[in-house]
Amino acid sequence: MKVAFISDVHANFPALAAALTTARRLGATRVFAAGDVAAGGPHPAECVRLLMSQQIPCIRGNLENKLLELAANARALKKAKEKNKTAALAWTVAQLGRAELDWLAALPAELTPALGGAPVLVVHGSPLGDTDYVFASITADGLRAKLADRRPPAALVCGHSHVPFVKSVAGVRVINCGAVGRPVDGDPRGSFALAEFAGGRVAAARIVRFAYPLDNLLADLDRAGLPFFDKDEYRRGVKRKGP
Amino acid sequence: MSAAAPPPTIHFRLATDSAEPRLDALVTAGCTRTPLGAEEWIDEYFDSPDGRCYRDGLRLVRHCEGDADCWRLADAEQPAPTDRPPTRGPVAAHLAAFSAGRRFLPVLRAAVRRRGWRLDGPSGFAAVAWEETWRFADPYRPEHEAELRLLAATPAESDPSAGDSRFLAALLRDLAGLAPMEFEPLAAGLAALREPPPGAPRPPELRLEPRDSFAAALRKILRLQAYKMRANTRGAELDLDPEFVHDLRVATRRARFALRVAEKAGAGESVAALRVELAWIADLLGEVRDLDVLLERLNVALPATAAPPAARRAIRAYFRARRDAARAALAPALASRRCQRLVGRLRRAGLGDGEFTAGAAPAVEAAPALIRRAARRLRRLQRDAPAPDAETLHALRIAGKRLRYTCEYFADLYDERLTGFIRAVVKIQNLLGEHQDAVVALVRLQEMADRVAPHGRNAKEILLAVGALQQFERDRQSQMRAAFAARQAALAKRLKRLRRYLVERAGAAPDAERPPAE
Repeated sequence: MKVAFISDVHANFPALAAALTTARRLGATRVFAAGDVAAGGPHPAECVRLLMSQQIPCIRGNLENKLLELAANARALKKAKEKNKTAALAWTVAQLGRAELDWLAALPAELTPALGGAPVLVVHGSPLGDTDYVFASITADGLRAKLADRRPPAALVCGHSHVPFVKSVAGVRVINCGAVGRPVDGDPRGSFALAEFAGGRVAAARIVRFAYPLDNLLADLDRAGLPFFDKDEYRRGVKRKGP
Repeated sequence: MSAAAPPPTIHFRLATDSAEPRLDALVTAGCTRTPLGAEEWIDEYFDSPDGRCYRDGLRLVRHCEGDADCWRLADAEQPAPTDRPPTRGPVAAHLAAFSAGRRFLPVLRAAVRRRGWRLDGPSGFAAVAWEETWRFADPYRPEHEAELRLLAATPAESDPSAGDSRFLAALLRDLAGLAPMEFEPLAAGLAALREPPPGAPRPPELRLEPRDSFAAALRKILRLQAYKMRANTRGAELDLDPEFVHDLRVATRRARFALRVAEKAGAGESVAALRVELAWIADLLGEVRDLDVLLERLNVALPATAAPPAARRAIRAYFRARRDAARAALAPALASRRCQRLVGRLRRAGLGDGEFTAGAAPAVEAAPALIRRAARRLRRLQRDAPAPDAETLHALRIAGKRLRYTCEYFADLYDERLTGFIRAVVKIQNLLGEHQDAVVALVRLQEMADRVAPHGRNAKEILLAVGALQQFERDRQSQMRAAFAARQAALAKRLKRLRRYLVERAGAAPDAERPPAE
């Protein structure tokens, strides 16, 4: 079975739609989302609704946790609106309806599906937490440390770093999906991972890069008049350092 | 309690293909698609001759679907078709005017065919999507038509959240790959037919910008007049309403004066030739318009005379026949290729920046001198004739008109103080215009009196009525002359203030600006 793993949509609906269409075209029969879906872009509600309506299994990313914290605390939300650093999160909370927030709140921190008989661990950052990273430089010792006392899965799927890769480490296929909606590796196309599972193991896994209608996204940023999102980052596929 | 507003409909452009393959993209994303059947109807859009409905954002529509045939009014206040007309506001005012027999003109006809589907998402989200084909036609030239295909989608639930519409729009744009579009049938239909909207509101691209050169500003001014001429030609040709002839004549006058300004600033010979050609259509329009004005005046003046009905009828019939004859000459001229070429030439009037003396200078710098020159001429005429005769009043009227046009041409470059001045000039113009109308009426009435056969039917009564009408016009002349005299001092003061204002704006010393002749 072919499975697509997406992560870090960051409320970029045109990219999410393109990712799902591409995955389906490439033969994926199931899709998993590894968090950071709703914050960091102009379409939080739309992205959540699409995942909801397609019943795509999803986990919470670090930004979902921040959103939920803000949504639950009116004072913190008010303060967040006034600070440049958190205004985008506050705006995102305002875009989400009750149904979307409830859906986010019900998301697990990780998923452990068995795909084609193979045990898979889907996390946002790393098995250690949603703010930890798994980079392509990871070693066998590093992986063991991150898995701690867990039994090694056939595949470890993560996101968060926005830098995609597929690598076999100590018998584990480590897959970082990159980012659907906010690539930062100099390629403005989105990325996701496509893996084939058969006979209780990962038969193949690769990163798929896909183009999406960037103009639609930029037009929506203009229309909504959102100052928090840097259009040039989307155009160039980079993350600028803060001032 | 008012009903909840219906969910907004969002529109997407469709090329020649069917909407179904596009909607299949949603089906693969987990939506189910259920056919809703097909519908057909015809909408005819109406406007007042002066374009007021359109300018007020109102759409008066006659809607025919099967045997049902109803009028409806849709506008910002009442977005949905309504059975209960409003009792206050602009909608009510237009409805009252309509009920009172004011003419509303068909401006667009649309035959619409559509078929629809209900889309249900797995999480309970539902929407209705219609594939629509709008065949627009000019009500006066049905063969002039254009087609527009689109997908209209709206959340299906009666009380959707704001997010439903956004989600639907995102699905159709990013998942189905459809291009969103703004769609308002009247505007879209007129654009598809390449017809200006009713009332020909000035397109934003024809507004003057501070960075425009003088040549660029004049080009915009000429294009605006060409646009106004085109917008009113059909109505004038078909004689839909006297306002069309009036507006067409005004646009022609303004174009001629703008060309004169260009010519004086050193533009080429082609400009002079174009001005001569405009005079051809202006003369034909002037004849019809003068008689329209006279017929309107008769409506007021005739009841004031003690003329018997037969004489009144004869006078009206005489001028109506003259008007018909003038229109018979005008209509083919307006329909001619010569007229089309003329408007086309005006639109393309080549006023290259480097081609005439003042062309490359910024309009902001060139305009004050023009306005001052026009104001000086008016002031001189006014000063030289403290008790002006009819001829001088006519000259004053023309000078005032030129000042008004010059100010209006460049008004975009100035603030509301210039607009206030224009309003003041218009008031005085109206007095002088009324005076001139009385002069023209006297001449026309005399012509009629000269033509009445001395022994013809009702000759005596007709001549007596004409005499009474002439007296009425003389009285109007005297009244207008007195009213103008009373405003002379105010006009002089206004002109002085205008000069000061222009100097202030230019940031120059008043003495440096004073022309040597004064």
